[in-house]
Amino acid sequence: MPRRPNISRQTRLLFVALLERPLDWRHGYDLSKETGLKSGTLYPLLMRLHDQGLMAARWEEATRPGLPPRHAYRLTVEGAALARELALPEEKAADGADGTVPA
Amino acid sequence: MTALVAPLRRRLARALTRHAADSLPTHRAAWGEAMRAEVDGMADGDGLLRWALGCVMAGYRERLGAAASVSGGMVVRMVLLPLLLIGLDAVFGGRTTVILHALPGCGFTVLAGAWAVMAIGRRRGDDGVIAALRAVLAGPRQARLGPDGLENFLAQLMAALCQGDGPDLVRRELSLPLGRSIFGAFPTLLHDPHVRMVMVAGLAKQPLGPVLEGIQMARSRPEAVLRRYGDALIWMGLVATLMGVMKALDVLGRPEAFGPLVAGALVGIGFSLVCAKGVVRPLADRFAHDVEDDMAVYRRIGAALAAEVR
Repeated sequence: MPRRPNISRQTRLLFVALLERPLDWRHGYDLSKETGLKSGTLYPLLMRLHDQGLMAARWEEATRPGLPPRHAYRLTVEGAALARELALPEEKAADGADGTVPA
Repeated sequence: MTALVAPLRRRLARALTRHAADSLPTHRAAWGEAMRAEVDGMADGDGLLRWALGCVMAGYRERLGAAASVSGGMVVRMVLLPLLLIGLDAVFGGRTTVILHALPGCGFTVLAGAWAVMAIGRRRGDDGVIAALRAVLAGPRQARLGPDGLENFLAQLMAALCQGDGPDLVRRELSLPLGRSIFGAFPTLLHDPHVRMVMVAGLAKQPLGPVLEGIQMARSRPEAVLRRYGDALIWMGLVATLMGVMKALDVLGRPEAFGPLVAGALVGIGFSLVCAKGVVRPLADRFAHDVEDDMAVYRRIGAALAAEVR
């Protein structure tokens, strides 16, 4: 069983971005643009999540010729479960702030 | 102007990510390749350099994190041993001055022992003493067989079988992309008739024994360095005691000063014996045990590979 990571604000941001399209493989730069995390923060985070088995990584052929294969990432089943678990209280809080009643 | 700056910026970004990849520890090599590939895929712009600089920071963070992995047990031993000696003295003798007299001798023993190990290593042409000491400081668990070890081992075996001398040659020979693990690609590679033919030819010429012996020798280096350090500690403890006794002889006519000085000198040899037999040697035994465990796995993998190829 993977160790539960320290959940920082940055990890939450990354989880939220990855949860938006959980089945798609995403590239580092795209994730950085979506989350606003700099590469110096993003890569160590990706490495930790990968080590803990919460995120899968694979090499993808480049879409343009002459470019090297790129590393792509997506949540594993465990990672997605943890991300949902973490995202839920935030969603509830947001719903409460809006004054709406969650279904 | 932009046309002039853009290629320069890209080149600088590439150089920075190359540096970031080099800064990462070995087991993170694939992440270094990922950073480099990301820069190649990015459009020109200011973000390119910022991204590359961030990658350098990530590389440094990972490198520092790996270097700071000195085992807790080692630190505890290093702190507890002097405390234990002082405590024993306080309980049984109540003469902490003896310990104060002994401290320079103990310090001399530890440092001179380390110096002797390095000097002997240099004289024997063994330039891996520092690396071995680093492995010792990181603790036996750090030296255990991991995915990187297996990957390197398989690369070495395949290099030997393909009559080459390094993992790069194997990759070239097998047209394996840099980011792809040789270990992971192994089952696929064995189904390649050309690779099998090359390996069978290699197996006929080059038995796996020397490769395994080479690996065992390299992995046993921390243990050998520890044993050397243990021996050096005892000798240096003797030297420290002799020096202490000689110093005490200066005050032979003053028994109140002579006694603590001689006692302090004798603590030096006791300290070196406790260090050598109680700390260094058990640690070396543990390293030897771990290496033997790992070598059993290596031998089985080697035998399975040879059987599979045949």
